[in-house]
Amino acid sequence: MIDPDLISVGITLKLATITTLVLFVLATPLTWWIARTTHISRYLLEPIVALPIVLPPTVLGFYLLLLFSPNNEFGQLWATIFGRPLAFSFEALVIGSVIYSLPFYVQPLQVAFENVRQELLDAAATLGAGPIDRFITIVCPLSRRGFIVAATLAFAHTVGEFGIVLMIGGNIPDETRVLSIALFDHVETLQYQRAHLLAAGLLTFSFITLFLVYFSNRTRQSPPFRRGIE
Amino acid sequence: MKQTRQPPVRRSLGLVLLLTSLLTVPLTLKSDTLQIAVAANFRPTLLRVITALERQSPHRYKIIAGSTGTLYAQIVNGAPYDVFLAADDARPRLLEEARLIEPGSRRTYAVGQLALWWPGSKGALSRDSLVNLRGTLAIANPDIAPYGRAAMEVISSSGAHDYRLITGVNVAQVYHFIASGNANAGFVALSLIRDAAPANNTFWVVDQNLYSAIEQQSVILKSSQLATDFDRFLRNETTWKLLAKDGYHVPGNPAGGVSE
Amino acid sequence: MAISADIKLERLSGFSLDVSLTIPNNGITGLYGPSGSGKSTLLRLLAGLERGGPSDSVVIRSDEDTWQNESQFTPAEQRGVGFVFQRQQLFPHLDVQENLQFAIRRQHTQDSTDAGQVYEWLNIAPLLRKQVDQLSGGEAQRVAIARVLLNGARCILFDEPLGSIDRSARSKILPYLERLHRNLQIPMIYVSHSLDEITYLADTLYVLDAGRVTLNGSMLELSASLELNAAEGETASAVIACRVARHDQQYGLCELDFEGAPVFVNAQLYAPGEQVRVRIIARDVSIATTKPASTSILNIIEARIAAIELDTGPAALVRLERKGQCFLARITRKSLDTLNLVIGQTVFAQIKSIALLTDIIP
Repeated sequence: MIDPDLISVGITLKLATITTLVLFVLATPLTWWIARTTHISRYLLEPIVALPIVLPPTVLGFYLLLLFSPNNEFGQLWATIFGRPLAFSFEALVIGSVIYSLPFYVQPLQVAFENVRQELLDAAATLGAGPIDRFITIVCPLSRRGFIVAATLAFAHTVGEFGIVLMIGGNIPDETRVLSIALFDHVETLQYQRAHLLAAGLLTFSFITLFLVYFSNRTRQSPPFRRGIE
Repeated sequence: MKQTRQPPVRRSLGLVLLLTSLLTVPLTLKSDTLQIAVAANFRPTLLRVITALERQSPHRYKIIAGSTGTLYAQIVNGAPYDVFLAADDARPRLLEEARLIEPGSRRTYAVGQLALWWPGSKGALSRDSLVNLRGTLAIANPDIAPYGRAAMEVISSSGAHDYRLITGVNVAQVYHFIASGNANAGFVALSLIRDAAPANNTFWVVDQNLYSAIEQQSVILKSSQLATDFDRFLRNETTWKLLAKDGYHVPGNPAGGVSE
Repeated sequence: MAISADIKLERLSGFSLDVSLTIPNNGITGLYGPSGSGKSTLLRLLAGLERGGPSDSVVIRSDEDTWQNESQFTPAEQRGVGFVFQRQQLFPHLDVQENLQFAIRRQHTQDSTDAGQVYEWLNIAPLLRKQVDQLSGGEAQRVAIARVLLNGARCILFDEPLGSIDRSARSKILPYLERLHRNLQIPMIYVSHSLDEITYLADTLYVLDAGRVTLNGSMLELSASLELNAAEGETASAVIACRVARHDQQYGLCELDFEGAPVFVNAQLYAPGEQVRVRIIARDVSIATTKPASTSILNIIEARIAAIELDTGPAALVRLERKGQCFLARITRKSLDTLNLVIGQTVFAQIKSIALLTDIIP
């Protein structure tokens, strides 16, 4: 039998990977829009995206639980389409994590997008590149570091997430018991030895992740695109 | 200019010490204040008990509520509480073994009653109704919470089979899972649904003989006259009335299981 | 491809543009004016990089279709208009060759210019393997121009292409542009606030000020206009067109014919019969009322005084005309009075030096 903590590690990695992929697909266009638009709604959208940074995760979890409920149109629709309620499922964790990690993905990427000079996009347009072509061939490669930092932070943040999962996960051993919940259980049941093991692992992982992020930011300072007025 | 500036390390160390002392002073100095650590589920009842107590005592009572596990960990690590009201008997026992309590002070102060809450149920509920349960059943984490452990005992003897078990950290979360409609049914503490009063026929007070008693025990961590007085008040007539009203059995009451 | 535009546009900042212009389907149209006069905005509108606000009226047509009016808008990528920006337009994540391939893969027209030809015109071959950040400003601009040509643009817009390049590099790149001018049969619009570059390159000139066209016409005619030159002071100059008459091998000079008058320049590049453009700087021109008999100055042209502009300083600008072509002389007001010069008088202009603009007018 596999150690239940290993299963939790597996669930956590799966959750973080899927969350990061979902953010890549959904939040990348959103970020591009926020970074480029001059539309007034940007000033509404930016704080909404940033909310999870300041809100206690339990607040988010509380509202998500209300949202997932079959008493609610969304929860009902989900149950009708997928044949089972959303709450206490792995999908629920993905939704919660996507929302909770959204700012950690959007903000570094937004900075990268805003640093792509307009001249380059204008030049690409006049050379015959349409909006999607420009995004893929110019914006993405120029924002490579932004993507790396964004994905790393979103991934790490999901791994360390606790409050929301506690609220909407239901602690199901092979589906929603992620690492941080297992850690919490160990502390509550006085299994300090196991708790230490998980906590130290999480700590090491987080440190290495942040180290890599800061390290990649550091090398950025030797600018790859130095060319001024000669 | 030569000696006036302290090195930054020493200054920040000083700051840390200052902050630490500011935080700990109110906890340690007031000798006429009783610090009571209480399991979160008992907090509402304790507040009523203290209101009653304060009518006859000039002293002040400070309540620190948390999960039994968290409070236990704090006590083991030196938290300056005078009295500890746990939600179970396991943690008080451990404290006793570790000689962290006033000898002989471990006593059951209330016996929890388990209730099944099933908002969508049809007809009167009993253990046998669980066989018909489809969907999500919520209980408190049996490894952590005594109500969860008790619920597991009921479920495993009920023949229920077609449900999806999810666990909350405590009964309060289980209550919220059900109230928000995300869980179809769940086992909570009777004390929780007394206040919210769900419709009749949607809850069932589980027969006491279907699960081993949920004894909530208290210990005195630091002996004082004040602690002894409080401990005595916790076992008098006034408190018992409040306990019964809030859905707890009184220790030693034949219907409420066995006390020590 | 000829382009016509009718633009009425207003910004919140108070800036407004009210311009109507037609770009002929050949040659270079210069767009000159101080910064903030609306040149760049006009260019961006033509390229489709901006579209104006909902209350603005922007109508732009090429001879094939309508690019923009109230109801339609063709985005930049579909207009086939090449754009050379002031600077930093090469994609920094690609090297020079990849930048050029980006353009080739997205060609607007199939029958675009031959790549070998473009490399030769702009001397691209030595740059192909370089990274973008290894290029000098002038080299980067040459690559940017090559990229537009390889893209098969049907019209090229230059927005101050030499604006961020130092003087010596600029004089090196101008002949490249001139070569394009000579060889390409597509319209080009050249925006600059340097009259130098414009007179060197343009055939037609639009002068823009505060969003309005204040002058418009043939470059040669306007080059000698006092209005345009008054502000230039010491650097006032005019451009004249001449025909190459013969080469004087013995002295290494080239004799040009300027409306019947011989003009000598120091160049051997062009064959007799070719048309060349020559710049005459006003301060190099002095005026005599009688034909100087013994002088070291070779170029003495008989001309008529067409106009006189007094400066606030001690100088005066005199416009001299010979059979329809004009040039300028910058002399002192004192000389003007001493010689008693008046409009209509025939005089002899002595020209100390003449710069050939290495330019052949089609």
